[in-house]
Amino acid sequence: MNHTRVRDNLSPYLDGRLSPRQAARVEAHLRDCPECRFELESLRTTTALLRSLPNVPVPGNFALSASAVKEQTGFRRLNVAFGALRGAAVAVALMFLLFVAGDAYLGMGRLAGTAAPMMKQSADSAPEMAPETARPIAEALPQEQPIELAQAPAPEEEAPVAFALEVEAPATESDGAALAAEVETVSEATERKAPIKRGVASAPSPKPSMPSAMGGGGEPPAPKAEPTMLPEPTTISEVPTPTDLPRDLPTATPIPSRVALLITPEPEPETMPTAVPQRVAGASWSLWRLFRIGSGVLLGLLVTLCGALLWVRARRQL
Amino acid sequence: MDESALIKAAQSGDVNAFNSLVLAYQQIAYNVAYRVLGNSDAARDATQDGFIRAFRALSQYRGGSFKSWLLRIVTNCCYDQLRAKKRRPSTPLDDLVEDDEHTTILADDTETPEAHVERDELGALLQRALKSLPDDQRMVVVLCDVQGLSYEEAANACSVALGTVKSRLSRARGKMRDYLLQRPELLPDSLRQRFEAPV
Repeated sequence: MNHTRVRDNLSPYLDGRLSPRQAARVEAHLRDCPECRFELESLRTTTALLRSLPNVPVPGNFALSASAVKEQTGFRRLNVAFGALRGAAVAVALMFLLFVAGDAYLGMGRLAGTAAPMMKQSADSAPEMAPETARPIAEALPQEQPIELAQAPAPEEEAPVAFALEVEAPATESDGAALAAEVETVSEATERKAPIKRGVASAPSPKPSMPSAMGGGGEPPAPKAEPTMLPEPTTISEVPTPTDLPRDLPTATPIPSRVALLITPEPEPETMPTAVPQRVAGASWSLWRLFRIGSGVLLGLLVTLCGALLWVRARRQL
Repeated sequence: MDESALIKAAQSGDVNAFNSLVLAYQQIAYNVAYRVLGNSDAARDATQDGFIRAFRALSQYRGGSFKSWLLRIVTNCCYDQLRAKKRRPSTPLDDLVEDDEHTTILADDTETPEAHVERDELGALLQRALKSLPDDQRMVVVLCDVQGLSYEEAANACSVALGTVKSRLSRARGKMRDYLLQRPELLPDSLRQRFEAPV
């Protein structure tokens, strides 16, 4: 047995707490090691001094009085009530944790089930947007066109301006008066497009826009969508009337595209509220839900830990 | 009436029976608290609190050594006092080591004044040595060496394993010896020779 190990065993050796084999090893080492012998003797003296410390007299009597016992009995009842409350708090915390975990589990299932179709819908709605929403305009336009614009087989919204260009081009050559009258008619029709646009933009379906468009000056029946559409004066001013259009344009193709720019934004409010805003709201909703779940789990764990600590401390302190 | 009968009577609500147990154990309870805390007032509070807690928790006593069970409560009260003192330090313990309440009592009529002074000084030195120990080691050395409890009783009183008591006691004794070796001039002549290292 080495020196350090013997020193560690000197205290139990003094108290006779070593096994006979260990005690024999210690004694064998002590015979050859004066340092360890001195250490053993000093330890023996120290313990002897400690055991020689006299008992100090007790100051007074610690017996409990009857009033103290009554007070303690009341306190014991209160303590039992507190113990029951602690147990109830732990149970409530565990139930809360269970509910939160279950809600999180079910919520994750819902998120996984709804997220994919939602994204697919928003992706699919983009190409379908223009044809779907342009159709009502096309249906509305021929009815308000007083001239042969209705026979135009081209895409619906291109018809009036394309006609205006066709009218404008020959106006420089001949028949100025007759064609000017026609141009005026077309410009009037173009001006009357504004209610059509407003009607189309204000209502998602073409039904409410029809009467206002037919009336040619009636107010839109659904004013709640007004802020989403283009203002009427600007729309009209931006429409390329025959006087505004550049005369050197060879064909009508650039103009319809400009008109399409004016018309195609109109259907957007019809489809956007159903696709894109839903995706944004879904993302924020899921973030908010995750935040709520996380904070709930943390709160439940905290309450459970506090209850368990209180319970353990009460058990340890008796 | 023996101890087990007193305990049963106290468990059924007999205050007189519990007070009989208090009278039997208040000496050791107070001395443990006094040696651990080093202050008579704190020891009195801890002892009284320990008996009150014991009466309150008497229904949880499930047999075994009643002394160990009671000392376990008292040691917990001592730890509470030590924690409270650490939270609100007021007066250094050095000023309280020499407690007037316990130093003026003569051991017996035959003791000379010189011997009385020497005993008081040695007691104060040992109390300072005890104070220099960590709380856990001081508790074990007070229970085992000062009060003479067995390792098992000390382990039960401190709510620790038997090996923990053995190691804490070994370290505490070593530190006590080192403390005394560094101050041989404070030891009586009869003891000073035992602490002189061999040449």
